[in-house]
Amino acid sequence: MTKRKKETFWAEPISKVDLQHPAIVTTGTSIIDAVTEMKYNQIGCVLVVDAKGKLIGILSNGDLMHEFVGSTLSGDLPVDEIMTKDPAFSSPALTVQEALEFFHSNRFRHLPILSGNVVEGILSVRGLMTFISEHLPQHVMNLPPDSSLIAPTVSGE
Amino acid sequence: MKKKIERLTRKDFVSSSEVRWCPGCGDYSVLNSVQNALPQLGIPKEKFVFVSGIGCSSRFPYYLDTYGFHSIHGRAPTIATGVKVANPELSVWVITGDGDGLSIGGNHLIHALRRNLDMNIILLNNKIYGLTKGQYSPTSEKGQITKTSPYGVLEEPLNPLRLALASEASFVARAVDTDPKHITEILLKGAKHSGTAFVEILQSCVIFNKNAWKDISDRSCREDRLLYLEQGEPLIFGENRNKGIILKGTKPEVVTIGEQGITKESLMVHDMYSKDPVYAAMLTDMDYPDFPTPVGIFHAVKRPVYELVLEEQIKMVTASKGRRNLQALLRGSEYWTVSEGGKKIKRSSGIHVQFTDESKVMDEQVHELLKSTDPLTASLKTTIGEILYNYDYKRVKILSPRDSISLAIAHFTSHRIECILIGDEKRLYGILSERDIIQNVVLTSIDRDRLPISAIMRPIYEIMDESNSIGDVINILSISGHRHVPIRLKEGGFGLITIRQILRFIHDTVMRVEQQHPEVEKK
Repeated sequence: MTKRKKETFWAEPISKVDLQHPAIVTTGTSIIDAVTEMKYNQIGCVLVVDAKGKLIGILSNGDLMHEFVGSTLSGDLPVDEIMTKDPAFSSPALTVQEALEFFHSNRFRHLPILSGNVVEGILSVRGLMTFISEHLPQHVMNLPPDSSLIAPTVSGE
Repeated sequence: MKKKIERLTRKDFVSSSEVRWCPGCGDYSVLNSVQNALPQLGIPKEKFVFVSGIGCSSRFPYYLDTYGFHSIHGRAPTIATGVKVANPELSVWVITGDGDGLSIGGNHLIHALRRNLDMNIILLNNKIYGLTKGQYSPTSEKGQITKTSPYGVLEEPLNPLRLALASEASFVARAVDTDPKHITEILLKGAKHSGTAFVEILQSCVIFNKNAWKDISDRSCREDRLLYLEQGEPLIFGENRNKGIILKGTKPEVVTIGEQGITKESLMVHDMYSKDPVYAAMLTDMDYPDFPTPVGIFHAVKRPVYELVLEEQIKMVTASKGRRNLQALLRGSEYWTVSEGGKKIKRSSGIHVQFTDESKVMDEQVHELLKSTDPLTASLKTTIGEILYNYDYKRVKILSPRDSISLAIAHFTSHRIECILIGDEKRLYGILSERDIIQNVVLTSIDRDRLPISAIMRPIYEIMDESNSIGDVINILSISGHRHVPIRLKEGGFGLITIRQILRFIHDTVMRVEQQHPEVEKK
């Protein structure tokens, strides 16, 4: 991996990105309760931990859509039945570039960030995009909220 | 040079319009006083302009046979300022009220007073919104029962004269509607004053606030309760002219002449020319029943007149820099012509404007600031159209809002897509994401076979065009909170841009830049 600093944000650790507050349920929780937890936390995935608090699985909207909604499974089944087991996770030292590469080569939208066994938060594609765009204020942040109002060039040239 | 002016009379200022105020309204007497004052000024009729805002008093311009504007609520002082600056020869009069002038146009009034144009502002104060049928105004008394204060006004009323003094008004006066002769006298002095003359006229609204000034303006008790201010004369009042005001410390006090050794000489003497507004402010604080209410001219000082100093400044700048061409300034170095109902937009290089050095420097600085050398930043200007086709834009499904939720679920599972657009080839009605399905289907017992998608879809935040840049898309994604933005395709129909595609684009761009420029400074 290169050590050059082409973009200021490129080598920033993910700990600087605003992580989303995670929804966490313990193993054996029903699917319904897990979805309720997701809705309560306004997040698109829920982490599943064992009795010791160790991360053992993740359940996303995608999993639910493909494994549950179209099936005949009952919502009272434990979440373990349909979750993705041993999910990918990372540490707060992960760089923005590495995160970009992760989302580039995986279909996930959420990446749990763990310090040891403790869940620090969830890195989402949205969080990553917002973080990058904060480094490019002139061309992203400081634009009118309606795209038809954005002038194609400065001073109409 | 001096042309002999035809001698005018009151009749010359009476218009043919039927005067429509409620019978018994104080406005009639004020109108009459104004019509009496105007011919005495020796100004040709065509030089008078009356500007008003909105309200009963603002109907004035119709009833005067002069030029006039019945203008925007509260903005009469502003329009009058324009009239006077454009044509300083005119005699400009503003007619306003306590609501129009102190509430809606409060800001305009204070700045007109501060500028001190040579014009006249008459504020008719009846302590109520009469035209709109009796809501409380900025001068309504605390506790007053009105339509909008059924249990009494809670606010402290404004004192128009003190506001005028605080706004550095150069002429501040007051009169009452029951004494038209005095109004005429004050208006004449105000008109002759060089600068803005502010005159408050205490006037009652016969329908909604008929007792507003009853205690002081009734002919029967006027002498005892009003203090007529006369320049150089002692502050004396009372039917028998035996009461007066003395100053005790810094406070005024009512005394009776002949009692406790008080003589006429012990009384305060009125000095409206006092530069210090504190004396005038003290007078504005005096009010019935503790004091007689003062009427007359409180404050009259000489200050530079705005339109004259403006003219001087224009002359000075023109002398040093020459006359400028307004057309050239408006058109700039280039301008646009829109024709055929907006179908044709033509860009033209117009009259060349010579920029001053400062504007040149400024222009260069702005360009420098906006010029981006950073490849990623530059890539944000890439249009959606340019990248769309490299990033799976065809992976979009459109369903009708009437389709069932089951059908949407079938699409989600068989196509491995993250969201579905709801609409048709021409119009979009909403957007449906996995989350909308999960939260509605798993947590509620809806009938997914019968309930249409329209029941659970979310509204579209914005549809973007292929010509929008990547930067624009990121902005909209951040604001909308959505993960997808629909794109109107040039070839018809709709595509979709997702956050994932944006991140891929950023990733690819940075990787490409790194490969193309392997040698980068080491910081």
